Parts: sequence; structure tokens; C-alpha cells
Amino acid sequence: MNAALVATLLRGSLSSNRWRSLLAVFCIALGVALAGAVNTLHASALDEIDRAARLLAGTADYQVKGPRNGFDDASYAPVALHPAVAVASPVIELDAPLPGKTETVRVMGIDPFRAARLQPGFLAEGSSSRGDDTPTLLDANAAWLTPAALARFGAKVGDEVVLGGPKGEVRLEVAGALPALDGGGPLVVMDIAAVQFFFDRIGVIHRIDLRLVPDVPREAALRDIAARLPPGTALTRPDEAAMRTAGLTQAYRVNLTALALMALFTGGFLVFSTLALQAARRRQEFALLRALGLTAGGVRAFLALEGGLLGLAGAVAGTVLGLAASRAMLERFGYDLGAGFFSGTGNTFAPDASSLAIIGVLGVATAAAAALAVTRPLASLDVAQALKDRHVDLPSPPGDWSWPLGLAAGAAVAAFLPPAGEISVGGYLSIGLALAAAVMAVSPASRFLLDQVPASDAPLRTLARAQVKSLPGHLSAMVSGIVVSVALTAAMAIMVHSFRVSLDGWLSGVLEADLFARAAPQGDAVVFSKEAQARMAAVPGVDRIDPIRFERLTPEGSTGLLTVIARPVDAQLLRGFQADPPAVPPRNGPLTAWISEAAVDLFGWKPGQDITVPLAGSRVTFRVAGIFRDYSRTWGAILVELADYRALTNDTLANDIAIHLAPGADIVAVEAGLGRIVAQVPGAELHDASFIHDRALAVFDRTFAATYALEAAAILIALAGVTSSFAALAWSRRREFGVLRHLGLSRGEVLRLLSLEGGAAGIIGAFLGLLAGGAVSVVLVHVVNRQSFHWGMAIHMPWLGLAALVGSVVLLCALGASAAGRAAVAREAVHAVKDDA
Amino acid sequence: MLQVRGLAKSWPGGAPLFEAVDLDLAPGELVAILGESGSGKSTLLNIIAGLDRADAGSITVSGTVVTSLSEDELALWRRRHVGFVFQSFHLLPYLTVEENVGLPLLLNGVAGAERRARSIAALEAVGMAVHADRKPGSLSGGEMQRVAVARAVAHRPALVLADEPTGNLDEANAATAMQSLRAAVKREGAAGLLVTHSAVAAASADRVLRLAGRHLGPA
Amino acid sequence: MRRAAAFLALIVSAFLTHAADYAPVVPGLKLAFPKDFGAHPDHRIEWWYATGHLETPKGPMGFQVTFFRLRNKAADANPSRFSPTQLLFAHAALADPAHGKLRHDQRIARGFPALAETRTGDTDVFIDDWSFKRVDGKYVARIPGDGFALDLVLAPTQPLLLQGDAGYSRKGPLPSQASGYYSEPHLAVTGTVKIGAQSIEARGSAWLDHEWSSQILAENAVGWDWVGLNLEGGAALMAFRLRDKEGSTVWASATLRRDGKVRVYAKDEVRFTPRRTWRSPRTGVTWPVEMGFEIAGEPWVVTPMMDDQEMDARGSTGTLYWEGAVTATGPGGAKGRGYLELTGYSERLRF
Repeated sequence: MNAALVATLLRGSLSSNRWRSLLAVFCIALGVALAGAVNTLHASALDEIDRAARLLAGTADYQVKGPRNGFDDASYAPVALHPAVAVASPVIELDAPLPGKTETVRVMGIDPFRAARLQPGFLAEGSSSRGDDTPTLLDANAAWLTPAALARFGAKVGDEVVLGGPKGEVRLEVAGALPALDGGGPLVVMDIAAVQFFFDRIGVIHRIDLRLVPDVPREAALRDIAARLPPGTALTRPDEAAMRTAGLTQAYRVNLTALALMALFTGGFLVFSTLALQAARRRQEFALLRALGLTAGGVRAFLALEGGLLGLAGAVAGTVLGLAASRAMLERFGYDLGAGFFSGTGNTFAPDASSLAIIGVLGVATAAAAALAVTRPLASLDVAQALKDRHVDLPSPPGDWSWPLGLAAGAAVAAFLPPAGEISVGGYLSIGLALAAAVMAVSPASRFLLDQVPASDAPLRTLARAQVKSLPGHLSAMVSGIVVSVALTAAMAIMVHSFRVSLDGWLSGVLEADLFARAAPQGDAVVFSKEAQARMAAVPGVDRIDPIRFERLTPEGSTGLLTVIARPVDAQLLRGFQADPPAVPPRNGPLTAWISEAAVDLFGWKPGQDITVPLAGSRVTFRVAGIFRDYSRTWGAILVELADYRALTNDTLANDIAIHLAPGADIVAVEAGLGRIVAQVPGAELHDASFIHDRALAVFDRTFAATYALEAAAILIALAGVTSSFAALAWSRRREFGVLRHLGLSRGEVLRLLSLEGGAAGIIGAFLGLLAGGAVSVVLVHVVNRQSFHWGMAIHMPWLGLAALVGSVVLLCALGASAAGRAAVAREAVHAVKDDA
Repeated sequence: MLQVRGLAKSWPGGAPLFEAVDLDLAPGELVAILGESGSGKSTLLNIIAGLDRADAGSITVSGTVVTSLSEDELALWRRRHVGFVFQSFHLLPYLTVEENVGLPLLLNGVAGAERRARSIAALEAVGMAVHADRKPGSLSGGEMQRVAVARAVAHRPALVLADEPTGNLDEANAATAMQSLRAAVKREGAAGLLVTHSAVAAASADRVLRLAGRHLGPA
Repeated sequence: MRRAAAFLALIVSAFLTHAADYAPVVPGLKLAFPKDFGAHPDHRIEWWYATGHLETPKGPMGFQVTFFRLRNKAADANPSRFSPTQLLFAHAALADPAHGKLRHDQRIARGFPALAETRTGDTDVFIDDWSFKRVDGKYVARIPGDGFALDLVLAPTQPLLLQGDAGYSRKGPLPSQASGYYSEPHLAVTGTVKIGAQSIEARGSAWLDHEWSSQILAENAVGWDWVGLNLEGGAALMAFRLRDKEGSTVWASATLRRDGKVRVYAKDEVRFTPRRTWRSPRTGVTWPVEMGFEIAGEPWVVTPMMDDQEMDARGSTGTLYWEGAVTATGPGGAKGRGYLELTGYSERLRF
């Protein structure tokens, strides 16, 4: 094949298939764009985390990290005094609310003299050479802000900025800017003692940054230092921050990427049908070329090239689109895609070229694979036959049940494979096999289903039935397209609906109190002191309050994060948490804890087992009383009795407070009374249960908005594909329509015939799609979801939505078919039957 | 049975294709119209079939003035009273031979058992009953045209129209096909009109006319 | 009156207005030892300041080891362990004519048990691994600095020299502008100096000042000149003056101990006259590195061991001063060695 020939052939192919080609390119582009955007957002977030961690750590080699609520600062001196430690810099870190806003800012309390030895950027430039009344390094009300923080406050050096704290507003004077720490994000740097004091965290630090003396044996020194640390703290390297985050967000990334791959899959399917139609339509042309001396390999190479070109166009467009989308999302929403893994907005845009290249290659490969699937039957083209024969069709799939049944069995087996790390390999394999089974089942299932429809003497129905039952390749490809898109859409819809209904029910159970006071919906700087709790409990009309305290820590011998939920536990609460068993064991036994499903998966804990958790610097053993459901923490949680927690930790603060009203209490008056107390805690909110319930669901809906959009896109693409398939089919059948017109069918009747066929194809496709989608949703809910997010849920069918889906697919198939047929029928029947071209 | 009076048709540009065509066919009569390519013989056939409109003149078939029917009435009239044989056979690939023949019966609402019986009967008449359950793709050209003839007369039309029915057939097959067509017309008492440029095909007709120089006249 | 305030310019200013909150130094102060060797945590500022000349196989060198304590009462309300109620600073320098300029390093820390303390009862001050401690009547200085290290023992050879009125040293026109102040001249130094990886045996003679106060600077003072000299034959001389913006003397004083007799000279009897200046190529500041002064009409001249003994720590603590080893000549062929300190000359840097 020479270049001129290829160019000629390509021109012919692209001009006759412009819209279909465009659609296929669009699909590939969509898949590549989605995968690329997810990847870029994540890479940027990790890059930002990595750079910020390295920047703020300066020359520190190691960091002592404690649980979320920090650890005793008495550990600091022994670590600092260790002979292998050259510099030890204690750090307290909090996310403090900006009063009146939903934003937070990271407050970092440091000892500037220590921190500056690791990162000189902590000493503000020029702050030492100002006048007498300038706040100094150690002035409690002085704060040094990074440029990003200045921007967030809209403040400049010398201004006052206000933060919410547990004891009221914290008013700070901006003593200087920290331009050298610009990459650390929005930071308010204060003296460590001032942070402890203003934010009511006396005795608490979160981190100690360490630089070790050079030339000491690291292993031994680290072991020795670790021995001086309390349980619940760990020695890590600053450059591990991004790695740890990457580990935590892996499941989330893989799931989004899987969605992207499904778009790619659909795109590949469209490339297949476009090229297949192309091949069929140009069968005579190819036969002629063969007769003129072109080899079979040449024809196949041409088609593969064409597929590759479509894939390349899609990959390039998709990569550009993905980069643009991720850039725009970064600027508008930050790194977070709604799952709460990354907080704040950053300015790092760090696309990972190699990942993007792999995704692009995947796009091209998908298209090329589709093309190769088309070229296979061309190899066996009977040139002489094809030259005479004007019959245009795609290769038909095998018509028996052995393939679909085999694939379905494979899908069932794959669902039981164990996950690879956090990735549900078996689940995705199972979904792929189930979809393949559904596609392979199209032919035998069409036949089987139509056999169930009694034969009729109505001419149009009989003709339509005969056409669909014989299932030419075009129709088969079209039905397959419907099956795949309906299956994916239905599966996603069922999963999202199941999740939403389960979450709804869970929220109703968990939000069992009348009112909730939340110290800081964002951030952890603001908490309710014991005094505030007592005053709330004393408000007339309040029956009782349940303070809730959260802690997040890393159990020893693990790298995972575990949330400790400490609150008064009773049978009603346990039922709300869907705990099994929902009963509180007698108090005289060992300390009890309930563990979330994620804790079962991630830490391997079981009911009845004794587990050790580092709390407040000591190892505490709990007996696991049962398992509860937790839809808000994917990394595992344990639920413990507040009284136990307080006795163990002396920590009497509360993050949230559940408030139960006395019977007959005037809720308006009680809310007003509580509101006055809550108002003294900046950033805190008071809401009734239904508000929080609704807000949680709204957040859920927003999180899944992207999923809904993708579903809609899948349906639209599939229907566009169906319509174009019908157009192709109608074109290839124009002689047949001519004959039918000669035989006395009116134009309208021919169109009705096409609608019937389209409707029948739609019904079969939707039916198979629903079956496959149901199977896929079971895998999604019970395998992928369980293995990725570690929480169980029941399947709930969105019947109305599914009915609407099926209805619209059938209707649009029928309309699409007749619309596509209009062009074909518009041609004079006279010419159609005479058409010898 | 078929009466054509003063039929005229012009090219889209305005030049007359033919004018003042008169034609009468009796039941059971097979008439052939010979003519060169582009003489307008196929157009004449299409106008008689109601697939194309004449500029002037009238067509009456068994008392129905075809030229005054609407598009949908024409479709219905064609379904009941006209049978077609095409040069390229045009059997539907997804129907069996018997179903193809039964298609006009199906369109006319003939119920299953009777339809099958009549289809088989029509196939027997052309010697193709043994292939009733095969798909057209597996037949030879001559066989396909015999099936097409059976389809053209299965619903006992008043008029059987054939456009170059032997154009795609060799001599032996052409003769067999024409024999079938002639026999079918005689048997069903239909008026048969075929247009062709093949003198051999025309030889099977009862009467041969020639369309030349815008006028239809004796050969 | 000594050198600390220059170091602490950035912090001192914040506390000036609160001077009344701190324990004052009042006339009639009676020093008691060993208690007064130790820290006086209720006074606003305090320092231990050792300077001396060393003889080494590499030639003569000068050294400086200084610890400052600064009380921050504003932090008392905060019960945090990190609350900066005491701030500690340490500077160390090594003058080596072969090197041509000072090697110096510093430490800053908030007072924190076990990490950075100025203990009471006896001299025991440390910031991390830098320490200055009185052990068995001798001072032990351990200063592992950046690029150099000092590991010295300073042994007294003479009784304490109580400055001013038995340790009550006036610094300004007001009686409250005063400090508790004693010196240890003619300390016999033994130990090692480390330059890079090279350890050098050293011995020599040093001067220690220990001074504490709550109100240091007269309002109009911008800097000062100070000199402390170990004279041959065992005599010791200390003289200082406070300068205002115009360079006129705001306050001055001197102490001379010869043959066991101490003579304190008042403001009018002490006059400083710069003899030769040196302009720092790094900072552009001109320092009167060769200083003449008269005590009761008798002329003294101090000559620097090397001109470049400028101490530029503005990058970390924001201070710039000249602290140099000098040799001295005086009336009647008197000779000695000691240290000259010049502060408040860097105003010109403002351009």
C-alpha cells in the first residue's frame, strides 16, 4: 500500500462516515479526558502535598507524628535531648475557621528559633528591623502569614486577622509575610505557646521535626528515639507524606479511573461499529482492490490504520480536554473531587506526563483493537462473491449460548477473587466479563425472546419480527451498544440509589437526637469545652446532651488511619449505627469498642477480639463487642463509650454535641437558649437533625453529580450511536424498502416498520442491559464498593428511574430508527430497485 | 382489464419523453414493450404501477381510475392488485422463500395457514416448492427469479408488471423464467405487461409493442 | 553596662514600657555568693560574658563566649510549657589573625526545662549543647559552634571584682538605671579550640562579666563603647561610656583594681576618643577600632589584634556590633590585653 492509495481510501472513508467518525473520536476523547483529568488532579494534589511537606520540613530528615488530637508535649524534651538529634522543632497544627465563612486556614504553632534552624523561611524577612511598637517574634498576638493566607484573609502586613477558637475569636496582628513558604499553602504561623493557649490545647503538640546528627547509625538511632516516644506516635520521613496520601486515596482514584475506562470502552465499541460498517459498505470496493492485486493484509492494515487514526485523534483531543478540565476544576474547586481527601485550593498544576501518555496510548489501543476485530472477517473475503454481491452487512456474532454462558460463569467466579491491595481487581474483571457476556448474549437472546412473541398476521409486525430475529450484523452491533450503555447506566443508577437509600436510612438512625451542635464543621481548631457542655446541658428543656469526641490515630504496626468516635453509647444509638449486635455488654467487663466494617477489612479485627489502640500516650485494650456501619469514614473507625474515653485520656472536649429535648419542650425556646451558648464559639453551628440529614444527602448528591453527568453522557452517546447505526442500516436496506413500496407499503408504513424494528431492538437491548446492569450493580455494591470503601449496603432498585431509562431508550430507538429511515425512504422507490451501482 | 388513454410524460427539464400513449390489456394477456435504454419504457411501467405520476392521460385498471388515487390509496391499490417482477429479483434476505412469496398475502391480511398453502401453491406452479424453507441467498439467479414470479402472482393481482425480468439471467434461465411468468399470467387471468429490450424475452408475449420516438406503436 | 542590648534590640524595645513590672536593682544592693553566680530570673535582662586571649601553636587568638537571659513577663499568663517567659541567647566568636575575620555562631531558645536554662544558685546556663557552668570554682565553657568549637576551663586567679558600689553599678542619670555587676578578671584559661576538624591546645587569660538589670538604657542612649583589660602585674581595668545620637557621652564610668585596691571613676573622669577607624567591606559600617580613653586624665590606648572583628548576626538575631581582642598601653608603661566592644554604629546602614 502506498501513501497516495492510503490517502485516497481515507478520504473516501472519512467523507462517508463523518458523523460516525466524529462520534467515535468524541467517545475515545471523553474516556481519555476523564482518566487524564482524574490523574492530573490527583498528581497535582500529591505534588502540592509533597512540595508543601518538603518545604515546611526544610532540612528535617524525620518527623514524629502523633494522632489528630496531638500528643503530650512532655515527649518533646527527651527526643530533643537524644544525642543523635541535632535539631528538634515542635509543631502544633490546627485548621481554624474564618469567622462567618465556611473556609478554614491552617494554623501552625512553632518555636521560631527551632523551626528556623530547619527552615529559615519561618523567620519573616525584615520583621526585625522595624520600629519599637512592632510585634516581636514571641508576641502572642503576632502572626506571620504566607502570601496565600494573606490572600485568603484579604489582609496585609500590619492588619488584624480574626480566627475562630474554642474560647472565642482569636485576634491576631499580621506581623509579617512569609514569602519563602509560599509553596506551603495558606498558613498562619504563630508562636507554639500562643497556639496552645488561644486554642485551648495546653500540653499538646502534633509533630516534632527532627534533623539527625550526621554520621550516626540511623537504624539504631531511630529505634532509640522511637523508644522515647509515647504509643500512638510514629517516625516518618517528610517525603513520605505524598506517598501516604497516595495510599489513602488509591481506591478513590481507581474507581474514578474505572469510570473513565468505561467511557473508553464505549468509545472502542463505537470505533468498532463505525469501521465495521465502513468495511461492510466498502466490501465491494475492497474486493475490487483485492482483485486489482492488493493483499488481504493490505486491506487489514488500512483498516487498522484508520482505527488507530481515530484513536489518535481521540487521545490527543482527550488529553487536551482533560488537561483543560483539570486546570479549570483546580482553579474553581481545588483538588478535591467531592470525596474530601484534599482540603483547600492550591496552585500546583502538575500533570504527570508518563501517566497521561499511558492513558493516551490506551485510547489509541482501544480504537486499534476495535479495528483489528473488524478486519478479521475481511481476511476470508471471497473476492469473486463480494464483487457480485451487493448484500451489505457486518459480521454476525455467534448465535449460540456457549459464549455468553461461559463469560457469565467467569464473571461470577471473578467476583469472588480477593482484592489486590485496595483495588477490587476481581470486581472490575467480573464487571468486564458480565458486559462481554451480555454482548455475546444479544444474538441468542434476541432469537429466544422473539420466539416467545406469538407469530402474527399483522404484516408490519411480522416483517419487523423476521428482521430482528434474523439479526443481521448491523442490528446486532446496535443492540450490543444499547446493552452496554443501558447496563452501565442501570448499574451505576442502582449502585448510587442503593447507596443513597442506605445512607438515608443510616443518617436517620445515627442522627437520633433532636439537635446537634457542631464545633467546627470544617477544621479542628474549635471545640466545646467542658464548661460550654455543662451550660448547654443546663438549658431548660434539654433532657440530656451526648458530647461526641473524635480522634484519629494510627494503630501500632499499621500505616492506616483509625478514627475513634467517643460518645455515650446505648442500645438505641447502636441500632442507629446498624451495629451487630445492637446491645451494650455489662459495664463490669473489659472496655468495649464497636468497630466499623472498614476496620474489619483494614485492620483484620473481629468481634470478641481484644484490640490495642494507642490513646493519650498509652496502649489501651478494648474488647470488640460488635460491628457497626459507618458511611462517613472509609479508613476505619471504632466507637467507644465517652466515659471510658474521658477516663483514659482526661480529654473532656467535644467536637459535636447531640442534644435530646425533654418531652414537651418548646424547641424554639431551647434552640434560642443553646444558640446563645454556641454563638460564643466562633465557627460552631447549631442545627436540628433534619437539617444535617438533608445537608448530608445534598453533599452526597453533589458528590455524585459527576456520576449522574457521566451516566447522561453514556446514554446520549449510546443513543447517538444507535441512531447512526440505524441510519447506516436504513441506507443499506434502501432497496428492500423500494421492493416493499412496490409491494404496496406506503412510505409511512415503511417508517412504522422501522420504528417497530427499532423499538424491538431497543426492548431487547434494554432488557439484556437491565439484566447485565443488575448483575454489574450487585458486583459494584457487594464487591467493588465493599473492597474499595469497606462499607456494606443493601441493594435498592430505583424502579422509577430504571423504567424511565428503559422507556426512553425504547422510545428513542424507535424514533431514531424512523428518523434515520426517513432519508432512505425519501429516495424514490423506483430508483432504489433499479440501483445497480 | 387495463386501459391507458393519452398518457404523456416529460423529462424533468421539460422535453417530452412520450405522449399520447394508449394501451389496452385483456385478462390473461401478456404484452411486451420493447425499447432502447432511455426510451421511457420503465417510466411508463412505473406510471402504470402508480409509482410515478403522468403529466397527462388516465389509467384504469378493472374499473379503478388509478391516476386519480392519492399516494396512500395507490399503495393500498398496488398491494391488492399489482404484482412485480424485477431485474434484480429483490427477495428479502431475512425471509425464507415461502415467506417471500407470502409477503403480498401477508400484506393483504391473508391468515397464516391459508397464506402458507397459497404460497406453496404459487411456488409449485414455478417448480420451486422444494426450496420453500430456504433463504434466497442460497438460490441461483434463475431460481430467485422464479420465486419472484411466484411472489408477483401469489395474491392474484389484476396486473403483473415485469421490468427486464431476464436482464440478470442467462438464456436458459431467462426462458424458464419467462415461461413461468407467462404461465402465471394465464393461470391467474391477470393482465401481464413486461418491458424489455430483449427480443427473446418479448417472444414469449402474446403481443409485442415498441416505444420509440415518444410514441407507443406496434413492433 | 554591657553589650547585651545590642543583641537584643528587637526584643528589648518591646519591654521598655513594662520596666516597672520587673524586679529593680536598687542602691545598697548586697551581693551574696554563690547565689549571685546563678541567674536572677525576675530581672529583665542578665548576661554572662567571657572574653579572652589565647596562646596556641597556631599563634595568638581571641575568644568570646556570651549567654544572655531575657525575662518576658507578658508570657506569664500562658501556662504552656513553651510559654516564652525567659529567652536565652548565646554568642560565641573566635578571632584568629591568620583567618582575618571572626568565626562566630549563636544560639537562641526560649527557656525550657532540660533544653535551655539559666539556673539559679550558681552559674549554670545552657542552650542545647552550648553550656557555661561553674564547677568546683572554675567555669567550664562548651561551645560546639558552626565550623569551630570552644572547650575551655576558666579558673579564677583573683578575688571577684565587684563593680560600682559593691556590685551596684549605675548606668544613667536615674538611680533605677543600674545593674548588679561583678567581674572575674585574670581568669586562667586552659582547653582546646577546634577549627574545622583540627583540635588546637590553648591557654591564656580571660575576663568574665556577670550583670543583671531591669532597666538598662537611658532613653537617649543609642550605643556604647566598653573595654575590659587584664593588665600585666595583675591589675584590671574596666571602662565604658553610653553615647547619644550625636556621639556625646550620656553616662560613663571606669573601675581600676591595682594591688587589691579598687578605684571607681565617675562619669566626668572618663573620656573616650577614637584614634583610628576601619570601614567594614561587608556592611559599610565604620568602626573606631583603635580607641583612646582617659581615666582621671591618664591616657590609655587599645589596639585591635585584627581590624575585622565585626560580628554580623543580623540574619538570625538582627544584631551588628564589633567585639574585638585588643592590646592596651597605658600610663607609666602599663600594658595589658583585653576586649573592646563597640555598639550602635550601624545606624548609617539605613541607606
